[in-house]
Amino acid sequence: MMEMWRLLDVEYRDPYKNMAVDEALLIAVERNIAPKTVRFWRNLNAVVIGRWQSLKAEVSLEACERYGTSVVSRFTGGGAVYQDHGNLNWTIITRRDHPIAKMKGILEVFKVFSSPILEGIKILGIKAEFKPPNSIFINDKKISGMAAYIKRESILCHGTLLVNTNLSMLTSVLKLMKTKVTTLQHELDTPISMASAKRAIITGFNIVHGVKVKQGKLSEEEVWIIKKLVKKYREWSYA
Amino acid sequence: MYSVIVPRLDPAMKTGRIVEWLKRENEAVKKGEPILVVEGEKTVFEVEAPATGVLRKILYPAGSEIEVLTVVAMIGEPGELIPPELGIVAPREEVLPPPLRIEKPSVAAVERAVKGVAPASPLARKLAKEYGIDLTTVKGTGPGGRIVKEDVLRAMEERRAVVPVAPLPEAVAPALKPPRIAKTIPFSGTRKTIAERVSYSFHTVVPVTVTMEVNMENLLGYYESIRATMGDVSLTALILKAVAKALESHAVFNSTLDGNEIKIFEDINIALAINTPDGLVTPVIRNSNKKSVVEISNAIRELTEKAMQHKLKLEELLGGTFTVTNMGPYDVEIFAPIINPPQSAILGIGRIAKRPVIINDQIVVKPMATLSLVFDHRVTDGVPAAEFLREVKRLLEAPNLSLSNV
Repeated sequence: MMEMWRLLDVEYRDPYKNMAVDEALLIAVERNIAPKTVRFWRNLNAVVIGRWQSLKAEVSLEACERYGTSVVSRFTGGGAVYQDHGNLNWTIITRRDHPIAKMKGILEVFKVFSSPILEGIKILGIKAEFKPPNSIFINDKKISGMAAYIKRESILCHGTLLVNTNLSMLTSVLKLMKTKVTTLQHELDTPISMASAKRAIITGFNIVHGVKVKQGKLSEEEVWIIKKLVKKYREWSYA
Repeated sequence: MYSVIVPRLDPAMKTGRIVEWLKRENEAVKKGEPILVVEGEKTVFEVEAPATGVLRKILYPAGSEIEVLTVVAMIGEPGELIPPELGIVAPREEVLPPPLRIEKPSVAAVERAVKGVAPASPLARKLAKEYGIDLTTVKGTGPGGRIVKEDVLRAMEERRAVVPVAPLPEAVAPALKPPRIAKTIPFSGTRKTIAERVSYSFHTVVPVTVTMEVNMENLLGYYESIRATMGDVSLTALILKAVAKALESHAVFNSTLDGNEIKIFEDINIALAINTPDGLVTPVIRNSNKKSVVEISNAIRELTEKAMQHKLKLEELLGGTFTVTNMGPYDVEIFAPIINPPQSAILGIGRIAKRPVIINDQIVVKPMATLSLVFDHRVTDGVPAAEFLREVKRLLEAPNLSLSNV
């Protein structure tokens, strides 16, 4: 029988609130008051950077100021990414005793958790591959990066997928581009909507993990946790 | 006394960075309770207390980069003395010299002396090698003068290593035919200046809404007449046909902004928003301008049925160049739909309702509907938008003339 997970299509204009949602979901799953969840979300115009990374080395603050780009810390590690409405963020949270979370090492987290996204890209007709430690590439160009947070009872993995991001903006605000990047639209050479990308990933979940998703919503407890966390993300913000 | 160590969570993991202590020194901790957050191998994880007691000593502060299996703290009973082999002298009543600092093992010093290499963490060495930073010129701020990742990044600040994005590759031949490009307008000069001004705050789509009322009387009459001859044709199909025709002469609304180019599509593939129990989908009616009203109507029926049964194929969802969304059946009069990226515009249709209007200075009652066009202001302006909408209005108000060759 197919397993059913909650699908959350929850995004806000406030990028700090968006980040607070992800952490709130992890806390809720940790406390066993929320089901296994897949979330899709986007930021309008933001740089998101691991909290303990060097902002000055990775981000052009002058470009952020010029373009009104928010700078948001995330509670997971890793370098800076640029996010606009052409970038689809995906978040997967499950309990650590779930079969997909049982791995020999933490680096397997990324390969296993991102496999539905990789499958989704292939469903769209694009040859892509997972490249350790935590990226999906199309040839020599990166299309998805990810980060994770492991708690005692739960695990969260979230990442990006460049669907039709404004790459000019991306290269303006990010200083450190370790690899070339590409988008689904460039690779397909045809317009592609967010809905199509989400649908492909959901199908990927079905194929890879035998998981179906059902549209759900935030619980009252989760909303309360988000409210408490938003202040922290605003305080962490460099903007 | 119990040691808190940074575990090796992956065979490949050699170092980790202490990112946050969740407890302070001398604070009570419970076995299994997270007390420390560590970043390693792109993952952040929590380290739990190995025993219940009090966090007697934190040996490495937040920000420290340390090798896995290093002891980073001690848990014991309140007031319990910390073993002297850790280099900490327990305070006594008399004045004592300050406690010895915990230093990194002398391996680093030996390295420097023997090999002439600046002591550095594996991560710092890797980053320096990648970006051509000479470690002997970098000042280390880690324990014992060790060079850590932040030191290398600081050195790199002076040498911005921006790798330009390579030119886009040749398109991967998709299974579908992409919409053809009829014309490419360089995104430069006045156009670019306007785009930069209006997109100061928004750097994706800059949506602007223009609305126009349409007298639907003639269209409704035309609709009844063709149904009598052609069978069950939908009203939405007539509206879509009019929109497709208008896009032929106002092609900038059938476009996409791609980097420095506004690409006008050759094909007019109208995506129609369909509400399903699982959410909104936008299947595409390809070459809408070349299809008859009957063909468009049949396509709408087929796609709607498939949408409701979750049987839409991916090729039926891709390749849209313009979107129409009809909220009339839901009694919505005016609304500002969201542009379906990477398209440049979307048309919303409100409900048809009898309203008083003035014609030849007389108040009459007519079935009116409001069209709401939302367009990307980086691509075009209000006047062309009004002209496009006026053309749609003209076609809908004179269907006998405009749609007669259906």
